[in-house]
Parts: sequence; C-alpha cells; structure tokens
Amino acid sequence: MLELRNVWKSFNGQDVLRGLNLDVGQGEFVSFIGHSGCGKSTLLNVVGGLLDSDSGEVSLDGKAITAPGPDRAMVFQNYSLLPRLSLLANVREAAKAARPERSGGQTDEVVERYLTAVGLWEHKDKRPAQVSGGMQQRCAVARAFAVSPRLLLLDEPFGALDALTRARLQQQLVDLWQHESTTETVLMVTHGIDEAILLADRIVVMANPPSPSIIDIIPVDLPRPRDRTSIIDDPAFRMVQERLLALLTAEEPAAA
Amino acid sequence: MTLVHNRVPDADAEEAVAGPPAPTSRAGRRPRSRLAALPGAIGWATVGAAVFVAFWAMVARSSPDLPGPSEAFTALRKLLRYPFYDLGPNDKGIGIQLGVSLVKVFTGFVCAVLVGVPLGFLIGGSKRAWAAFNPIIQILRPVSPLAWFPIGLVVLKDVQHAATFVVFITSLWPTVINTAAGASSVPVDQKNVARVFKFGRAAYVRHVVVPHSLPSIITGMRLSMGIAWMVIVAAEMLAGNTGIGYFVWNSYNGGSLANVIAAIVTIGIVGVILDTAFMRLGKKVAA
Repeated sequence: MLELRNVWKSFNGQDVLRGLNLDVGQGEFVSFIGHSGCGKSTLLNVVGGLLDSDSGEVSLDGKAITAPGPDRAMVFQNYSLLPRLSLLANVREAAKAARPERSGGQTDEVVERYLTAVGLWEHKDKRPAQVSGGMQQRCAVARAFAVSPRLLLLDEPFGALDALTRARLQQQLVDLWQHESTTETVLMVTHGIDEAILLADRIVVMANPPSPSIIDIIPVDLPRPRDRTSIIDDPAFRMVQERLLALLTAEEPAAA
Repeated sequence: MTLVHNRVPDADAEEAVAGPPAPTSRAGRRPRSRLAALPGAIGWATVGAAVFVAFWAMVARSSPDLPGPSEAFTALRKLLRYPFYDLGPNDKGIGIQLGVSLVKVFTGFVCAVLVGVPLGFLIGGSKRAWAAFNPIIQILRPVSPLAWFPIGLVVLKDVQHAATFVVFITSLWPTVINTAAGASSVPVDQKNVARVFKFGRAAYVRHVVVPHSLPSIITGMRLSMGIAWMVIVAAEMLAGNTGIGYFVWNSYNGGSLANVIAAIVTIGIVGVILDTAFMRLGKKVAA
C-alpha cells in the first residue's frame, strides 16, 4: 500500500533520511521508534506530504505523494488544535475542508460520530484551552478520523500525557482503528517501547548517522485484542521488549 | 526576521503603556487581593500626585508667568461648568472643542483601520508584498505627522480635512505593522493543520490567520489611537478654527495659560479613557 524507495532527506547538510526503504501493507499498524534526531518525525512528515524528500520515491497505492491529501490525516504531538475554535468547529472545519465532496449533513454526522466516540460530544462547545491535554488530543484524534483517511499518521500522539490518560487513549485509538472507521493503516512515531509493542504489528527501529536510517524491523506477533495488563507477561512481549532495549541502548548517542 | 524590531508584542506593549505589570499579575493569581490592594493603589497614586503638584507649585512660585495648581484648578472648574456653550467661532466650550477633535480623530482612525488591517494582512501573508511595501513603510513611518499637513491641505482643499488626513496617516502605521506581525507569525503547527486538512484560502484566513492576528490588531489599533489623539492637538494648532488643539493655541494667544493647563489635563484624561477602552477590548479578545 505505502512504498518508500531509497528516500533521502537532509537538513543543513545533515542526512536525516538516508536511502530509506520501507513497505507498509494494507491494514498494518507500524510504530517508529528511535532516539531524537533519527528522522522518524521527518519520515512521517514526508509521508504526510508536509515535507518533500530530496530524492527517492514515496507512493501510496502506486501514486506518488507530493502534497497533503485527504487519504492521509495527521495527529500532531502538541495537539495543534486551532485555539479560537470550539472542539466541534475544529473537527468540522477540518472535515469540511478535507472532504468538500460530502454534503453538510454527511459532514455533521461524521463529526458527531467521532466526537462521541472519543467521549467529547458533551464538551463540543468548549475551546481547546478550556479542556485538559488528554481531551485536546482526543479531539485531534477525532479530527483525523473525521477525514476518513486511509492512512493515519501519528507523531508521538500521547507523549505529553500522563500514564493513565495515555492508556485510555491508546485503547480508544485501537478501537477506532479496528471497529469504528474505514481507516486501514496507521503509522505512529513514539518514544515508548511498551506503547510501540502494545499497539503495533511491526516496529521500525531508526537510528542516527552513521548507522543506516532503519537498523531493524521487528514484527510483533501478539494476537489482538491485546490486554495491556496481561500482555506484559507474554514471552513474545518480553522478547520484543528486550530486543528493542538492546538496539536502543547500543544506539545511544555518545553525548547523552 | 526583519519584522521583529517593528513588532510590538502584546505583553511588552501592555507593559510599556500600562506601567508595571506586577500588581495585575498578582491580582490575577489571587482575585480577592485586587480589591484589598485598591486602597493601597489609591494611596500611592495620591502620594505621586501630591509630589507632582508640590513640585509644580514650587516652579510656579519662582516663575510668575506660569499659573500654579490652584489657578489651573479654578480654570478647569470654570471650563467644565459650561462645557458646551457656544458664543461664536472663537468662543466655544471645552466640551464642544473636545467633541470636534474626537470626531476628526475617529474619522481618521477608522479610515486608517479600514486601510491598515487589510494592508497588514497582505504584507504579513505574502513575502512579495512584504518586500514591496516594507521599504516604503519604513521611510514614511518616522516622518513627523505635521509634515503631512500641507499635502492633506493641497489634496483635500480643507484645513479640517487636512487635520483628519494627518491623523489618518500617522495612525496607519502601527495598525499596518502590528497586523502584519500577527499575520506573519502564525505558528507552524497551525499552518501544518491547515495544510494537512487542505484548508482553502478563505478557510485559512478565516479560521487561522484572522483569529491568530486579532490580539496584535487590537494592540496596533490601541497604539494608533494613542498617536492619533496626540497628533490631533498639534494638527489643530496648525489648522485653527476648531478643536481642542485650537483651544490650547487660542488660550495661549489670549494670555490664559491657566486654560492651557486645564486643557492639557482634559486631553490627558480623554487619552486615558480611550486607551483603557482599547485595553479592555484587547483583554476581551484575548480571553
């Protein structure tokens, strides 16, 4: 479904993406993990169409990605809601702009469905600043799903949240992805090892120079639905966890 | 960015215009203490005023032509007793003069906002428009307001309109520059949201640029109004016939320096009222 072929991208002479190759299949949940500066967010922005790669090919179903499009939606690290719009307006304006072919009634219906799904319908008239960070990020998730993207791009979506809120939101995200939407594929950048294992089908481990961009791709063979409390005792979970830890410790930047 | 030194960030502007921010922030944290602090604030304001008046009285004693505080106060009371009397073109109450000036100020100011806000959006939103207009603005901005008077006179063929024109030109710049600063400082993440969700030009301006710029626009308008109110006095001294500036000049020529001082006090108070109104508006918009 998503293909990246020999993708290069540099900033200020630093090669951030170095000849990166990756295939993501339909229906896959892929996590990207690595130390700061390894280019995982850059990769997500390239797929989202916010950044152009310097060279190489990025395509979705064989069509080259050159700009943002309604087949891809993003959830940003810092929520990025428009501060002066209500939660409802934030979701509705995005859905309207990205999917102009829908009728007003259709848009309203989709918006209500996802705001309800993330439990924000009764708070729909509040401004972002009037609700908690967790609620803001739920709104951002609802906004992304309301576009009905094929590919959902999450840039450290739960990094700024407390552990309990994060756990609830992870569950909501999986439910939405698996049962409540037509969204097929999810790419998620994360710092959390456990989060990556809990959510992903495959984990792409990325690294800083001089290593190649992708140093390993680890499959997570754990059946869904996954239970966050019992999964920790699963030997498969332990194995992936240890491997990730080993890789990331070995890659630890000398300066840190 | 070249813009930075022109920009008047809201917080700094607040500080520069409204004095030390400490009491407000303290009051913000503990709402009840604002009321408790009020007697203290009034007390210190009284102390400051007393020192100022004492100093003035001292200077006035050693300079016999300068009216002292009591003379000025008497003159002010007399002026305010019949503020709206009208005894012909050279003898009108101070209320009428203030009204005439305010009409000119608001006309020039409203025109400046109507031109300045769209121009600011254009300049702040487009690098080319910025490159095209910024040099002209930087050259015209520091020009003394009254230098525009002859041009206004020639173009508009009317002294009073020329005064309004001077207000317009001088209050244009802060509004343009602050609007441009607001429009050009839309955060990257908001721009990204607009890009990812394919906002059209109209939706982008309406939901991203305008809401983001609103506080800077109000700050620009507040600065513009402050300048406009300062400039009108000078412009009317030049224009003659009507207005508070003419009143000041006329009082001086008539030898009544007490009236001049009384007028200065009045001008200052009206200025504070205008400024406070815009500050309130700014807070309302920021909320």
